[in-house]
Amino acid sequence: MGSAYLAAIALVFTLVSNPVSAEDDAAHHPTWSQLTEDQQKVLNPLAKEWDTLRPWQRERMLEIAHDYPKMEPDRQKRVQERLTRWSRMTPYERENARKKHEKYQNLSDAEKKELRKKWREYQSLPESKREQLRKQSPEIYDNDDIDN
Amino acid sequence: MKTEQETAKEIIGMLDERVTQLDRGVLDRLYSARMKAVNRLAERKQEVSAQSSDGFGHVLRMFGDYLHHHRIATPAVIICTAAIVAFVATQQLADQPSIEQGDAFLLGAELPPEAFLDKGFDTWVARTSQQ
Repeated sequence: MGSAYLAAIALVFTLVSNPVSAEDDAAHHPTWSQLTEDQQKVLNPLAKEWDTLRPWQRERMLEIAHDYPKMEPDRQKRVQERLTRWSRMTPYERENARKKHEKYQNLSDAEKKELRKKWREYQSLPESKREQLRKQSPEIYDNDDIDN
Repeated sequence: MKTEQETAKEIIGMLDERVTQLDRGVLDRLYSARMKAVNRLAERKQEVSAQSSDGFGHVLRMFGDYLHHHRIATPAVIICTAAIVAFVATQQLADQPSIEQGDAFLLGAELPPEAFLDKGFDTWVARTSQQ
């Protein structure tokens, strides 16, 4: 009876597991020339530096290319404009941005609108004023947040 | 001219008429012959099934025998297997980012990633919200 359970469990894991082979590795971390035409089109801002990106960075960028077609044209435009800056952020910065974006998504439409208004106002401030505000900011993130 | 079928029907009719008149000894001999024929047929079936028990047929037979002997435990195995499949599938689906949670949607948001990282902006929001 025990062997029957073991056989069932082995069968399940054989069916659902995704063993990483050399081919899979190449598929997840392709060089620029190995990308499809559609992927190159989306990730074009990164063309020059793609082959220098680390495997996990490429994986993340490929996820972006995968989600890109689901987006509205204005969003797609913003993605391409921000892609290079995003790729140069540290993992810590990216993770913090993800967390705060998640919180932003949970805001009401009115709150989001208000926050966008404040961002425009903040951007209109002189750089010296913004620098002063940065210095006045308490440390926002706890050590627990630094998990990268 | 009679056909073969018509002749056969006549013979059957005559036999049926006479069958009630058979004596006990004849009936016993007929019963004994029938049992011999049935036993011979059963032996031949066993020989045929033994010959087909090699290869895949053997595996299927063993599987069938297993199910037969464990017919109480088999539903439990099936339920456990289904539960494991459901659990693993749920875990895998949970790992997938939802449609609005990928980095692409962060980059495409109305606010740029810098807005989420600029500590000065946080201070600005806190200060202007207090006013």
